[in-house]
Amino acid sequence: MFRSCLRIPAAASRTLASTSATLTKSALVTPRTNLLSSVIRSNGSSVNWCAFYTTNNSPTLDKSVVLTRVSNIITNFNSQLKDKTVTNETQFAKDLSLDSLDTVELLVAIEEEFDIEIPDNVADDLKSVGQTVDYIISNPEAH
Amino acid sequence: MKLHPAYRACLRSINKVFQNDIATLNKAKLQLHSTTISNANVIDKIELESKIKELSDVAIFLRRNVVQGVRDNNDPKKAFKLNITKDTELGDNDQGRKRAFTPLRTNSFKQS
Repeated sequence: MFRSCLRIPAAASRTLASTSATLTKSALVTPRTNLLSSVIRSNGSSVNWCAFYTTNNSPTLDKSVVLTRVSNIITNFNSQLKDKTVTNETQFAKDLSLDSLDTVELLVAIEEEFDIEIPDNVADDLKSVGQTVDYIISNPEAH
Repeated sequence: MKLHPAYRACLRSINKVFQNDIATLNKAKLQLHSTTISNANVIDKIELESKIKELSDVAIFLRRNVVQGVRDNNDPKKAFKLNITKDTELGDNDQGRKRAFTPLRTNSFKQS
């Protein structure tokens, strides 16, 4: 909720980076973390701006991390699912015995966790954990 | 009109307007679930349509007409702070009446 306030469009941050006079050419091609530290070193006054920039450019989500977060939501969803082992192959209806309403509820809980909104036409087609993880990875808003 | 998008919209509205209020959140979700299940035997197409319409209207109503008040314990007057969102219906009765005819895009709602 709070994190979304700190998000600015990627294009805007690129503009900021390219207009920053303190950046050298080599700094621009180094990984983001290095880029940040070089900005801090060469221009101490823009430390606040750098903090903002870091938040915006949190690393892209890793598939296994997404799976862990999703499986945490599933095992906390209700008491029947507490001891379930969740893999990418796990199907909501078949393996977790969720009815269609439960599946909607679970997907909304997952939306909240990643601060995204899954469109209706996509959500109705998500039948397994793997499909859901793939969708979250593909969504640039997810974090 | 399909049930799942309406159910989803209603759930999102509940999560939004009752955020951080665990007791009310759980109660609202439980009521949404049990009311929907209790209508599972409705087979008449027209009745089903109207039930689903009702559900999506509830989703819109919650967003427009429910405002959460949060008590600020640090405030000496212990005043309530109102969480007014961009969907909250503001203005006088005339404006409210006019606005009732413009569709609200529940799907494009973004958590803030």
